[in-house]
Amino acid sequence: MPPLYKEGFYWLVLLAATTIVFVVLMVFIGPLPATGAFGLLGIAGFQPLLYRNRSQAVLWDERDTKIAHTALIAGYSIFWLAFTLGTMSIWASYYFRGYETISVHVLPDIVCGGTIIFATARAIAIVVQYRLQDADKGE
Amino acid sequence: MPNITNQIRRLRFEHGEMTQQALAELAGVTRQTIIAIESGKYSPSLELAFRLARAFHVGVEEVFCWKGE
Repeated sequence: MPPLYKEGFYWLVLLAATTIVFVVLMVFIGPLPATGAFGLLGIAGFQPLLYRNRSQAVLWDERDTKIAHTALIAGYSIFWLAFTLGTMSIWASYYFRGYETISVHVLPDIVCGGTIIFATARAIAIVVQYRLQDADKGE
Repeated sequence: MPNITNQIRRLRFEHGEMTQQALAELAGVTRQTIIAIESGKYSPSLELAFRLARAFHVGVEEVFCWKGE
């Protein structure tokens, strides 16, 4: 797969899966079903099929591995920061409004939010790295 | 800027104006990786450095040069 397509896939994750789909669905079917629709991200599991080698050309090499690894670390770091701050904020807001417990219904939102943050941060890190390294001087 | 410089561009032209794609195929990487290495934006692994040197039939130090402090 040419690098442009690799980068393109992560643009798709970044733009389509995490932003446009959610906003459109929220408008048309409401916030809760829109959140549930993120189960469609499971389609990303078909990603390996995109990397089938049809022409014996090298599609994935050590640089791609390094970029993916760096992006994974960036995604996880940002997710963890946001997750910690988010959960503490939720707890604080409940506490100062006089509740002693937090509704279990908050959990799916936390999981969904965490997934979106992780996928977004990872996709940004991948796109930025390819952009920085792929100033095409080919001939 | 990285402390490693390379002579890949010069070596390619000295080897019959070898294209980046041809070098990529010899080294077993993508053309984009060759572009990134050639422009100094990516430092290859030791293994890839040896594969690139072998593609030009020269030693690693003829391809890469460490510009230390």
